[in-house]
Amino acid sequence: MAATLHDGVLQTLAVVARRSATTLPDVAALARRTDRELRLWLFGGGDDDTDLEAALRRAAQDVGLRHDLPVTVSVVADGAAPPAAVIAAVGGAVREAVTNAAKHAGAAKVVVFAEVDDDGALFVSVHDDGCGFDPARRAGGVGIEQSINRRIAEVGGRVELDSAPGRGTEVKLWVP
Amino acid sequence: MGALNGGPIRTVLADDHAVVRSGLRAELGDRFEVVGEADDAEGAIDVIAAHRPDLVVCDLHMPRGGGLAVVKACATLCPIVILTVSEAERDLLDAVAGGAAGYLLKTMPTPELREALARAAAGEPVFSPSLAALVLGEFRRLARGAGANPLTERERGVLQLVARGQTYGEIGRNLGISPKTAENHVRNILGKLQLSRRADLVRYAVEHGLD
Repeated sequence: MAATLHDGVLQTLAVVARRSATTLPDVAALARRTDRELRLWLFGGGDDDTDLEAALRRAAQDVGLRHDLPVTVSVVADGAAPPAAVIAAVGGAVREAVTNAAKHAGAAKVVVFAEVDDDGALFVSVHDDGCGFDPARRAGGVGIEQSINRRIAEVGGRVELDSAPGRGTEVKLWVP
Repeated sequence: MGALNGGPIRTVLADDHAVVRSGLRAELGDRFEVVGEADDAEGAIDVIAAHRPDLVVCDLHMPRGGGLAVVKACATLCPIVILTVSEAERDLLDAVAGGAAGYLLKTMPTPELREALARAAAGEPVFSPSLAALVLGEFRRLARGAGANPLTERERGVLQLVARGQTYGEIGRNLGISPKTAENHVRNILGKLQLSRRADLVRYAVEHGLD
């Protein structure tokens, strides 16, 4: 019963969002926002800080909702969960990377992907389709990048940024 | 037929929500011609047989068998794209293993949806990042069960890049291969998924004494 109801509501919101995209942009924005709030409530889990997928969904979709930016989150992991401190650090880093994509890159969508391999090593990618930048012309990195670096370094991980003008940006994290 | 000589892509829409079908019909634009509609799986199978379209856009959850039944019956006739609200569903793996040409989310913006459907009609596998992640997870489970991963290192790498939201063009640039080669890797991965799922069914039947 609940599944059918949710399916129907999500269907309706998707139709409203797409059909009103050009004629009624504020209605479309409202439909997208409601869709994401509903998904967050349905699939986002509670405040469980030992569930990597729930933590990433919460982080990414909180920011996505605030900036009306669609964020896809997928997690490939069925081994041991990473320690809570790692999940917290990665969740914070993802939150900042998505915020950056929304505020500065002019992105239309963001894809968050995480994979835990059989040895428990974690890889996370936050990829936006925004304006990108030229890494060679950037001195040392600014606030948000330093803050991502600091969070991940504290749990023994490392960060790489991939970007080129017009080609979007990918933030990649490895822990350990 | 139409699509091959530059005519509109003759399309069948199957979805149990009338509002979704009329919405899609309005959105698809001039490149597509909707030649038939259905509101359940059996209806879709009949309409596809009658019209032999260039493309089928099909919901996953529908009465009388769902998108899976449509894929099983018609995947060899024309490309079938599953269009769903769900981001993560085991059913999708069965649809893909059954031969679906692609899987897209209903929340996708209209221009992107049109583009992806046109590519699917031209025979390209079109997958959302979340489906690529599901397939990646499935192969890991298979590897754990059988001891060896049926994917090559290169295929695994390509699949991961799709899951990270990269286009075939970007994947090609990253790996130093052509976009077409990246696309072919995805096609091969899907072929392997179909084979392993079939093997699973056989193993299950043998172990449980079913036929």
